[in-house]
Parts: sequence; structure tokens; C-alpha cells
Amino acid sequence: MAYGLESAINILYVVENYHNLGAYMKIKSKIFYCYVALVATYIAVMLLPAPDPATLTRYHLSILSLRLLDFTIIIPMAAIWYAAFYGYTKLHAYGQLIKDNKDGKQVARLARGLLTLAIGLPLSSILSNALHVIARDHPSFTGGATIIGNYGAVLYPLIAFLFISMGARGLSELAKSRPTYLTLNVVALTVIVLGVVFCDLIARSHHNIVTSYHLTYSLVMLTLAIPYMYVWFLGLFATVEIYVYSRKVAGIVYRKGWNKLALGFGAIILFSIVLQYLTTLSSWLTGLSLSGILLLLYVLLLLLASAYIVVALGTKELMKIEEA
Amino acid sequence: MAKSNNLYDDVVNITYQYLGPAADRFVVRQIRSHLRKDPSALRPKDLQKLIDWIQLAMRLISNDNEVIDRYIAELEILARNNHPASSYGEKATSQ
Repeated sequence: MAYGLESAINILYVVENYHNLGAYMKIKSKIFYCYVALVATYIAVMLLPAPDPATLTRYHLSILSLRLLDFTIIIPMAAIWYAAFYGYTKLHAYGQLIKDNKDGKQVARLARGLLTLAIGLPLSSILSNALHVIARDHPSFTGGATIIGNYGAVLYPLIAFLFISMGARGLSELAKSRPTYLTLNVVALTVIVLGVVFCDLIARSHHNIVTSYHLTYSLVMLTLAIPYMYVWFLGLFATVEIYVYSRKVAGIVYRKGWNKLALGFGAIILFSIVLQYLTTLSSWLTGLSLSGILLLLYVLLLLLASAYIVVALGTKELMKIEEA
Repeated sequence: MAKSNNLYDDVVNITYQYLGPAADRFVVRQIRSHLRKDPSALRPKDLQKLIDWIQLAMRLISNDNEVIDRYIAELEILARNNHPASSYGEKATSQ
């Protein structure tokens, strides 16, 4: 009799969770449609306009081989965006499960940061390609296209890393543990080194900054280099704070999930910084062979996709605690 | 957070070492879902059944048997110390 009652309770429990699962699927499907729309727009922007004759000449390509090459970029891009959306969906679902708790609010901020990155990645690629196509047909717009593209590329990581750093700070306050004085110094020094090298590379790679950025030297440094350095500081410090939280928070089992989450977030931030470095210094990359550029891009995209998947795996472990 | 109850608090305190900030939510869910009662109404006689459900849930959450066994052993000690026949158990039951 008691066993039968327990079985009935179990069935009720499963039905109750299935109902919750339905709610998550709804969120997931909205995000999935958003992802599909972004991929479709990206494909349209990449394939609908006529190929750039300058690119065909520079890399000695036929139209067909350029289109095939476009696909070798579209497919891994779509895969990494899917990984980013998947990572966000999992973290958002976890945040929803614990939304009424102190840690839930911080997880929601981290999820908002991931969503900004997940949407920002395809949006900035679409924007950059669309602006490039418009500028090719309307050369007078080249300056405007470059400026919009450059500010668009710095804006979304700035918003994303602000959310992530707020969430990370909230978590470290919850665990009552802060990064040590030494760690703070290491982060500051890393950002200084990255920033100085970045400014030096901008100056070296663009013999004439006004032609490349369509901005004065001072404006490039003040409105592009400084925001990037700020973004890197936010990102690196957030990584350290999430790592400290994952080490100091109570709960042997709970910590394991957070260890993976910290690793995933650290990798996302690190590879995002590398991508920002390379995007801003893209004119330096034109010196590389086509296969070199593609190899570099594929390796980075693979690493970034893996980082989002690690976030999803860590979140799944934490969700098990909330659902069991 | 559930209403205060010494026995419930003891279960959460032990669980906190394993599930950290998720401990309170986890224990409340086990009591509400499987014992069908409010955490503040947890009594020593419920403890063994709760431990069984917690063990089952923990096996789904983690593969680390050593950690789970240690956690369950701590809960078993709590159950022994709060046996309905013991003075604390009687006190807790009469609350």
C-alpha cells in the first residue's frame, strides 16, 4: 500500500517536472527561432550579394570556389552560435529554477551576459558583412561603414561583460570571498600589457589610422582602445571572481558544477578577448595566407564553441541538484 | 527558506556541506515532494524515509559514491540521535 502510494507520488512528481520542462522548451524554442533567423540573415548577407571582385583577385578564386569557401565559414559560425545559444538556454533555465534565491539573481545576470554575447556574435558578423557590401556599392559610405562596424564590435562585449562582471561580483559577495591583492595586481598588469600591445599593433598595422579607421588617432585610442581595455578588465576580473566563488563556496557537490561553469566562463572571456584582438587588427591578418586565416579562425571558433558547451555541462550538473 | 524547526535545520546544516547554497532548496523539495508535508512539520519518525529519498536523489545528482556515503552516514547519525524513543525525539515530536 505504502509502496503504491510512493509510486503514485513519483508519477505526480514526474508529471509536475514534465510541466516545468514544457515551460523551458517554450523559452528554448523562442531562442531557437531567434538563432534560425540570425543564421538565415547571415547566409543571405553572405551569399545574396555578388562576390567581391577584389577578393576573387586577391586570393585567385573562382566564384564557385568563393561560394564553397563561404560555406566553410558559415557552417562553423552557425555551429558556434548554436553552442552560445545552447549555453545561454541552460544557464537561463538554471537561473529560472533558483530565481527567488540570492544566487539565482546572480546567475540571471550571468545568463543575460551570455545572451548578449550569443546575440552579439551573429549580429556583429551580419552588421560587418552588410556594411561591407553596402560600402562596396557606395564607396562614399566606406568611412561610415568602418566606424559603425568598429563601434558595434566593441559595444556588445561591453554590455555582455558588464552583466557578467555584475553577476560575478554578486557571487563573490555571497561567498564572502574576494580575489586576493596579488590576483588583482596580476589582472591589472595583464590588462595593461594587453592594452599597450593592442595600441602598438593598431599603430603598426595601420600606417595611416585615418584611412583605416576613418577617425583621428586620438579618437581611435579614446573611443576604441580604452573601451576594449575596460572590457578586458571586466572580463578577466569576472573570471577570477567566478573562479574564487567556485573554490570557496560551500558544498562539495555544488562546487563541482561551479568549477565547470568557472572554466567555461573563463574560456569564453579569454577567447572572446583573442577574437576582439584579431577583429580589430584584421588588416594585420591580411598578411597571412588564406589557409592560415581560415585555420586560425576555425581553431578559435572551435575553442569558443567548446567553452560554451563547458558552461552548458556545468549548468546541467547544477540543474540536477535543483531538479532531483 | 522554510519555517524554523530544529530537526529540519539540522538536516539542512548537514546538507549545506554537500550542496552549499542549494541545500535548503533541496531539503525542502525532498520533504514537500516525498513526505508531502511542510518542512516545519518534519518529525524524527520521518527522518529515515527522508534519508532514503535523499540518497536516491543524490545518486541521480552525483557519481561520487564516497561523498554520498559520507553525507548519508551523517544523516543516519542524526536519525539515530533523534530516534522517536530518545528524549530529543520525544521533545521534537511533542512540539
